[in-house]
Amino acid sequence: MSTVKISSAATALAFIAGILYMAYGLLTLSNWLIYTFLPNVSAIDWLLVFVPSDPGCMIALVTVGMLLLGHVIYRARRSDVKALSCLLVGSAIGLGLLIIQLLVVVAGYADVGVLALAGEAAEYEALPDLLRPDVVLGIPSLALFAYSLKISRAPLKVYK
Amino acid sequence: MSSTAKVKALEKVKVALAGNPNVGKSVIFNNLTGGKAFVGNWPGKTVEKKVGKLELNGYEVDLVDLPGIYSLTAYSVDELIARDFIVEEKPRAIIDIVNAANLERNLYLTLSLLEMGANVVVALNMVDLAESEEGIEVDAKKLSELLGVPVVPTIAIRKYGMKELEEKLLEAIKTKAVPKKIVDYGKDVEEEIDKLSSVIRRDESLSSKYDPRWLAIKLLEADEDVKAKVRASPLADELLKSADEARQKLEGKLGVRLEDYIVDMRYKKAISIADQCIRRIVVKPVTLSDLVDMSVTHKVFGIPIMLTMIFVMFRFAFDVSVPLVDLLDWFFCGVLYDAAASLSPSWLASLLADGVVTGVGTVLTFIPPIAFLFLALSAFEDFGYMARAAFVVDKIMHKIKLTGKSIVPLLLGFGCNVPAIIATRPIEDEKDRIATGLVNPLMSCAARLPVYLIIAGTFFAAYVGSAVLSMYVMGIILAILMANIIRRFIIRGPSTGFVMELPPYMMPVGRNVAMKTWMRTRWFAIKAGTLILALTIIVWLLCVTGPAGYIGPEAMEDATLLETSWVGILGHSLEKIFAPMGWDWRASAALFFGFVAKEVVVSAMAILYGVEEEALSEAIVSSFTPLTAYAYMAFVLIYVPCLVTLAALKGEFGWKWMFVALVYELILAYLVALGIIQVGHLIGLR
Repeated sequence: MSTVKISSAATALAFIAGILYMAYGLLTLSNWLIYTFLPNVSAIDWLLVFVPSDPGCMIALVTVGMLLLGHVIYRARRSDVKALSCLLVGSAIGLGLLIIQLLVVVAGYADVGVLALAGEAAEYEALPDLLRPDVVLGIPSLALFAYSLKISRAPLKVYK
Repeated sequence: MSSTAKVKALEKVKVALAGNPNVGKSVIFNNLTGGKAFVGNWPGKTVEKKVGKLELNGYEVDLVDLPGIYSLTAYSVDELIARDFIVEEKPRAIIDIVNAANLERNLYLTLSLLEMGANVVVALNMVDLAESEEGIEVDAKKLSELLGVPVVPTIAIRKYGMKELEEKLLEAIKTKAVPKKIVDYGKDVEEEIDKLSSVIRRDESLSSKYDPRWLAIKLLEADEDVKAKVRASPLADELLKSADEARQKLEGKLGVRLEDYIVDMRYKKAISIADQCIRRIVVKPVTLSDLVDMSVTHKVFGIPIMLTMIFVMFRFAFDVSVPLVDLLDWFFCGVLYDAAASLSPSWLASLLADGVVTGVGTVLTFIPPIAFLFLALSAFEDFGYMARAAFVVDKIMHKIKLTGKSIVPLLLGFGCNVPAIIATRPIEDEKDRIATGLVNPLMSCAARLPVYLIIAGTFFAAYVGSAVLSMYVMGIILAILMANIIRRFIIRGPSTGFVMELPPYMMPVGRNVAMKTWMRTRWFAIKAGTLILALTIIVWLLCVTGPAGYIGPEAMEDATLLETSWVGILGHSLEKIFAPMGWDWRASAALFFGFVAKEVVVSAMAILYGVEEEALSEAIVSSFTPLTAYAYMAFVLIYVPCLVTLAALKGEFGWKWMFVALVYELILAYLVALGIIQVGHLIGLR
């Protein structure tokens, strides 16, 4: 039993985001398998999002998905503190993935500048890097992180 | 046997159900009786009396639901009814329902019942609420020992514990209660209780009806109802007089009303028993650190979170640092190389351009990703995450004779072995640290990937992924194997204990993180730079000179000339060593260039085979079979670390361990490659 109060809207958003993180994580894995084993097959993109073919990204997306869905499961079991923990950590990692991807985009533009300095004609298309699941799903993660951080800062108690 | 006959065969007994108000008495009553009850009033009272029936293995039990009461004094009608029922009706047993969430208060009634000599079975109800609402756990076994009666944990609303309660009730019905001295009231009071008890025992009518000790206590408490009952006794005058005298004497000594003193002593006993049975009654504030740790060290989420953190570090180090890598590459391989190459004489230009500038440039292009990786690593360290990462894999790592803190350097090795070796520093135990560093080059770094892709793409076109993946898996298996061998036979001794203590999370201080990053990166640049510089000059010399003397820098672009250089000689010598694997001199010589950096193997092969890198696949088809190509990939995975990694090994562990790594990896690479060839031949591959 605890003094945590989590809104149902946050849990609903976590559920949707969690499902999407898991789905994109699995698509990332399938794209990696396609890229590795089936060179003649096109990668799968879903809902206008460019799905990378990177097993590391798959782990990250599935981890966030697991944590957000873990939040929903703990809430259903009335373990609100654990539910808040999953929400906080899951959304923080989701936000971290968003920030890293934005840094990659910035680095992409900076690299074009460096290559131009070296006399090489280079182009960088940011859209595929911006329309990635870690960026798109980073937005609900940002909202969930702000919310979970706010209620985490209130005095919480748990009976042990 | 008819049902009537069966009922007649049962022995009828009375059992009372007692307890404080709102402890779930009615629910337990319904659970035991099936909800069927005779409802009336207690004789002469307007208080409801409920009686239900249940059958218990040869007994027909009349279960009487007593009013909810807190004690057995004579101050309320409910308490008098309950007390009278117990005294007059003498139920065979009493189920005392105790609220586990409010043990102290409920135990007061239990003690009162036991003092009466009742045959009590305690139903410790609401154990779930005690845990979830109050945060306490009651040790039922301990409580049973202290009270000397059976205690059954129950959750009445879920019918939990009802079967065991019936079993204990049956046992209680079958046994006779033995009055016990459950509360010690102190020497003076006990003396008076004993004196009064001995008087009571002289009157059979009293002692057969009431427990003498209980009656004595009640007389000392000046219980008016008990006094009225005693007045019928022939010893009434003596008893009441003795009780009054004793009470006055004791009150004079104790300085309080004797009744209050007795109640107080009973409460103290209840508190004492509760204290011994309750495991924890703590309401713990949850900090932000606690919240984060719940997930980060979670048995399911812990490892995925750790892998994600490593992935985030990799992306930050290798993807975000790209512009700086390109900037340095342009400066060294473009501006400085051109400047050096334009000097004369040509040997000096080649020495400076191909040796010094290329060597220094190679080191410096490593610096941005290394600095970024150290930046992320330092931030995570100062934040307190790295200790958690070690914690979640500690048990697994101990099984392979390493420590939890080895996991981060090992995983970093998949990116680049150089920062990974430097990242062994947080491992306190020097033996664990050296072992982790020595096996680190077996983790397949990113630089080996181009070699795998060229060879796997040429010989395993349909299974490129599997072939490449098998290299990573082989590296992990060999690292585990070698860690075991190193820790068991080379660096023996106990390993670091398990990670037990976790530092609190702290927001990283920019200055500290920057300082750590700078110190680590600077060390790398200086230490690795000097060794790399020396070794690249040696490699350059071996390429541009031969037994006939100076060949010229053209040898670095002409395979025929290169064959006459020391490298060519070396390649031919190595060809003999690698003959069992079927590699020609060019493939063997290319391995030598892998000393500089593993990815250089590809460009070296292109030079040695006299083709552009793009045409390399076609050129090597005739030089390898799928089996010898796979063995070559395995050799590239395992054999000597690149120069920068060697420099890192030397800097961290000294010359001795650097040579150990160099030698064991060469031997291991040779044995594994040979093993692949031999096993392949055995199963008919070529």
